[in-house]
Amino acid sequence: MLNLIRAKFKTMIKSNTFWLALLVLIFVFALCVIVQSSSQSDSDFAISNDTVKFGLYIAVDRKLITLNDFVTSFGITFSSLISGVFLASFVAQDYNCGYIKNYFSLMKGRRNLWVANIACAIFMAFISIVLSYVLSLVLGYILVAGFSIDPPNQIIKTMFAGFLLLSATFTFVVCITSIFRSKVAGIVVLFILASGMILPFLEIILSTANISNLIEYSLSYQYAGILMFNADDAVKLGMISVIWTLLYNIIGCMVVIRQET
Amino acid sequence: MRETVVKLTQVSKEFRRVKALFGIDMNVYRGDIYGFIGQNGAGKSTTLKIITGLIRSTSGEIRLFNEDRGNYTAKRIGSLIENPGLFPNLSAFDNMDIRATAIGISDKKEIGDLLDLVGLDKDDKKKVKHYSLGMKQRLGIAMALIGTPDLLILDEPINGLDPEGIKEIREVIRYLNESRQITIIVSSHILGELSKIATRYGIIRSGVMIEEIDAAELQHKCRNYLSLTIDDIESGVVVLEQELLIKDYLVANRNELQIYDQTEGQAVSAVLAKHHINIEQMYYKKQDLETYFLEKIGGGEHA
Repeated sequence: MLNLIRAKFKTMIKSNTFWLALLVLIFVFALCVIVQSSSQSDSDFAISNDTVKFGLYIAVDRKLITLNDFVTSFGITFSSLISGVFLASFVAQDYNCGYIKNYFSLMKGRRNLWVANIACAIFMAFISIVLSYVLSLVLGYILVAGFSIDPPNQIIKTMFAGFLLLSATFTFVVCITSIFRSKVAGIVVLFILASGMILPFLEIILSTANISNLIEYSLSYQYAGILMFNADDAVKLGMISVIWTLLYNIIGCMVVIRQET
Repeated sequence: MRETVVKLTQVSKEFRRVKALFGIDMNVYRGDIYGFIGQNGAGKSTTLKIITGLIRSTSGEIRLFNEDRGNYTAKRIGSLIENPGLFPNLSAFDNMDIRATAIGISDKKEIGDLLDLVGLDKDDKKKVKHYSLGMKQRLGIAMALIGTPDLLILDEPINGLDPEGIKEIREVIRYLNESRQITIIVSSHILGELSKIATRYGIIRSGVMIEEIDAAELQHKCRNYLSLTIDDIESGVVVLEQELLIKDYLVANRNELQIYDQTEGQAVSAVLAKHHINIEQMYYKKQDLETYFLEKIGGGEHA
C-alpha cells in the first residue's frame, strides 16, 4: 500500500497540471484579494444585506478584514474548485491512458489504489488550506487596510474545519471520478456541490418526506454557509465532513474493488 | 516433474450475458515460451487478463506458482496486455520509475538497463505521447520486466512493429527465456513469428481451449504423409507392415491410413492390389504449422 501511495505522489509531483493548478489558485486568490481590498477601501462601499444566492458568481458585498474572513471567502471556495478540477483530472488519467492496468495487476491493487487516491485528495486539502492561510496573511498585510489576525483558537478551529470540508469534497470527487472513470463526471458534480445549486432540489425531495431540516447536514449546505462561517461552528462542520468522508470512502472503495479493465 | 507456473482449471468468464470463456484448462510450465494462438475475439486477451488479475473469472480455479491466484506476489509477474498503459505527458524513464515505485523497486539502474535492453534511450526526455507505436510497445515490454518477474505475459507484443522491430522483440524474448529463465506467455495471431520461438502452444477457438501441445510434438504431427483410404484397413495395415516394413503410421479414421515413413505411392498401391485390397483414395499431404493451426482455430479453408 505504501508503495502505491508513493507512486501516486510521485505522479502528482511530476505532473505539470498539479503545479499549474497551484499557480491558478494563487493567481485567482490574489486577484480576488486585490478586487476586494480595492472595493472595500472605496468610500462609497456599502454592505448589502442580500441573502446568499446559489450558483457561481462574483460579488463584493461585505467587508473582509480578518485572516479567517479571507480564508473562508476565497481560500476554501476557490480551492475546492481549482484543486478539485485537478484531482478529477488526476484520478481519471489512470483510466484514460490505461496505466490503471499497472495498478490493478498488483496484489490488492484496487484497494490500494483507492487508498492512494484518497491520500492524494487529503494532501490536496492540506496544501489548499496551507496556501489559503499563507496567501491571506501575505496579501492581507500588503493590500488590506485594517487587516487583522484572529485569535489562535479561532484560526485552529477554522483551519481544521476547512481541511475536513475540503477532504470530504475531494473524497467525493475521487469517488465519482473513479466510479464513472471520467474527469467530466467528477468536475460536474464538484461544481454542483460547491455552488449549492443542488440545494433547492434536495429541499424539495426531503420536504416530501418531511425531513427538509436534514439539508443542513449536506456538504453543499456547508458551502452555501461558508461566507457566514463562524469558528464556533467548526465542530459541527468538521463532524459533518467526517461522516460524508467516511460514506464516500465506503461507496467508492466498494465500487473500485469490483472494477475490471 | 516440471514445475507448473500457471494452471487454469475449468476457467469460465461471462460478461453480462455473453460468455467469453468456456471451461479453459491451461498449463504453463517453468521455462516455457508458451505461444497462445487464436483468432481475434477467440478469448486470448480475456484469458490473459484473468491470469494477471485485470478481470475476474466467473468460475474455475487459477493457480500461479502453485499458489491460489489471490495469494501470489505481484513482483513475480510482468505483463503487457493489449496496448501499454503509459502516462503520455511523462518520459519513458518517468513511466518506468512510477511503476518501479509502485512495486517497491528503488534501483534506478535497473530502469536504465531495461530501457537499453529494448532499444530505448534512458536519457531521452521526450514525452511518450510523441513515441511511435513500436517505441510504445518496447516501453510496455520494459515496464513489464521491472522487478525481474518469473513470469512474463505479452499480449500481441509485435502489433504495429516493423520487421526489424519484430525481430528485436523475438530476440529479447529468447534472451529473457534462455538467459534469465523467465517463463513467457505470448499471444499472437501471427503464426509464423510464434513458431520461431514458442516451445509449447495453446490453441483457443471461440472461448474453448482446443489443444495444448509441445513444439516437438507439434513438429511430429506436422510431418508430411501419404494418405490412403482403403476398404479393409486392418488387412491393409498388416500387409504394409510385413511387405514394406512400414512402422510409422496412423489410422486416422475408420478407413484412412496416414503413412509417415518415406515410401513410394506406387509400391504401396502394388502391394495392396496384390492382396486384393481396394484403394479408394490416395494422395500425398504436405502439412505445415500454419495449415495445422488454421485448421484448429478455424479458417483452414483460407490456408
